[in-house]
Amino acid sequence: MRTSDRILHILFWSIVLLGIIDRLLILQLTIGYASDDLTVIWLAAQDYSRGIFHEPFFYGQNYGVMLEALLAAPLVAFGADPIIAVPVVIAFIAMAPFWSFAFYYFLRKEYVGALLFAALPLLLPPEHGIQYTNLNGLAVLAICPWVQRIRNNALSAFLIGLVLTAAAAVNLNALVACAAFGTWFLFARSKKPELIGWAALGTVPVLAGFWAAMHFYAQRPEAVMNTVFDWRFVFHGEGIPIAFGQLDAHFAWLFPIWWPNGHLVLWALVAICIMLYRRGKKASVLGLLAALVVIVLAMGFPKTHDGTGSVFFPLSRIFLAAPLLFGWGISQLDLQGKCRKFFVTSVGPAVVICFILRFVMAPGIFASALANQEQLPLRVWPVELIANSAG
Amino acid sequence: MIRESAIESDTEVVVFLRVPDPQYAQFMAMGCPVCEESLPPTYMPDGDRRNWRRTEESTSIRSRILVVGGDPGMWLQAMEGPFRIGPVRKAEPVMHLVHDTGLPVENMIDVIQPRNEQ
Repeated sequence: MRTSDRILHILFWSIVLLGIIDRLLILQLTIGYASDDLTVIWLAAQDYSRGIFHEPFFYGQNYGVMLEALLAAPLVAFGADPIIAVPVVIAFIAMAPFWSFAFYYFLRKEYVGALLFAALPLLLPPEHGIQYTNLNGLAVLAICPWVQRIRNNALSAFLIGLVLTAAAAVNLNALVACAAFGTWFLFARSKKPELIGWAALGTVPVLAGFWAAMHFYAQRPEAVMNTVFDWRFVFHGEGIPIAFGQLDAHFAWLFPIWWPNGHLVLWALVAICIMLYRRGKKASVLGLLAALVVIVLAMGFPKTHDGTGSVFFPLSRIFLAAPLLFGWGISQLDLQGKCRKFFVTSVGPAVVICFILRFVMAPGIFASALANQEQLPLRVWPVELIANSAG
Repeated sequence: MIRESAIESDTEVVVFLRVPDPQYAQFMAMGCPVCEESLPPTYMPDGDRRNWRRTEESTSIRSRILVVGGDPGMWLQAMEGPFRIGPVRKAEPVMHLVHDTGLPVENMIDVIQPRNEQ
């Protein structure tokens, strides 16, 4: 191994290690607290661990797969406390897409992509780490880079279709990234149209499962206490200019390093698109353009406007895919020369500074969020409140 | 304290009222079965996310129901009503034991806490 590669390896593993420490610190800060929705996931993890599956989706809703509960269920079955297992799983799935892309690029020796994806969760503000809702769909996208590597093209295409549809079915906020990866796939593989057919076939099992789940609720309308398939999903074009008037709220905590300016992630995606176009990367440009179109269209749906400025129920949860796309877009740029050198030399110090800032700021941000929960549709309490009241 | 009261009174179901705080009621109704497995089944009328529990509590007739929450005025009025109700705890969380209503919990709650008060 060359010395320069060895240095990049050390840098990569150091950033991964800092990422693990950062996640453990945030977990330590938040694990003693739960929202009224998190208690439903605890309960589901306990039910699933006993082989009890009451409903396909979040209890009382006809949407929202409880992936966190499904992943925590084996741990609970082996004796873990759901109160611990569920937050640990959530902490893992929050990092899964970033780490997955990071390792994918690392194994391909594409070190800019590897370092960027490993660093991104640390370069984002502490609020991004503290907020734990709506991460499940994006976690499914962690599988994406690996199914691309499968040598059997037909199987790879089938699985791409399957994974992208599954991500969107688990949580619709993954649709922004699914649009990018799906469009990229369509155009990158356009010379072999049969692969597009295989990808389309891959969507079928998920769509069939989704149809069966919706049929389950159609047969039991009394089971649905809360739905999004109502006025929240009726398109109103006037929502788009309203959202553009408050981009920092809709993209809060989604831009790395320059934390107060979340909206910059949107303009960064536009800039990356232009740079990719100048480098002739048509499929990547179309992928990012598709994501931008989905973002703009999403602004027209009332559901996108259903949120607050609190980390417990932020407006920006709808666009949580943006940092992932930002990393993917930069990775597609294939930085060389001075740009690559600048990135490689600055990413380490930037990560260390952001890690320290996150560590220092996170407790205050979390305490402030706890103290300002009035009017939130979802609130957070100390877990010990249950033990004190019920025990 | 809820578990102690539930065991002492041989309660069959612990009901968390949406008054004064529906989110707290859901937090407790969903959290208690995980945190305190020895507690009797929990239920939150008019909004429990568990359809199977709604079905159970709209059909089963319980003889001892521990009700957590509700405002004092509502309870004073309820005690003048048709059910035998005993205060269990006056400090937060307020608890009352309701005996032999002859009605499923869903219907009992409609009597002690009419819809416009929920």
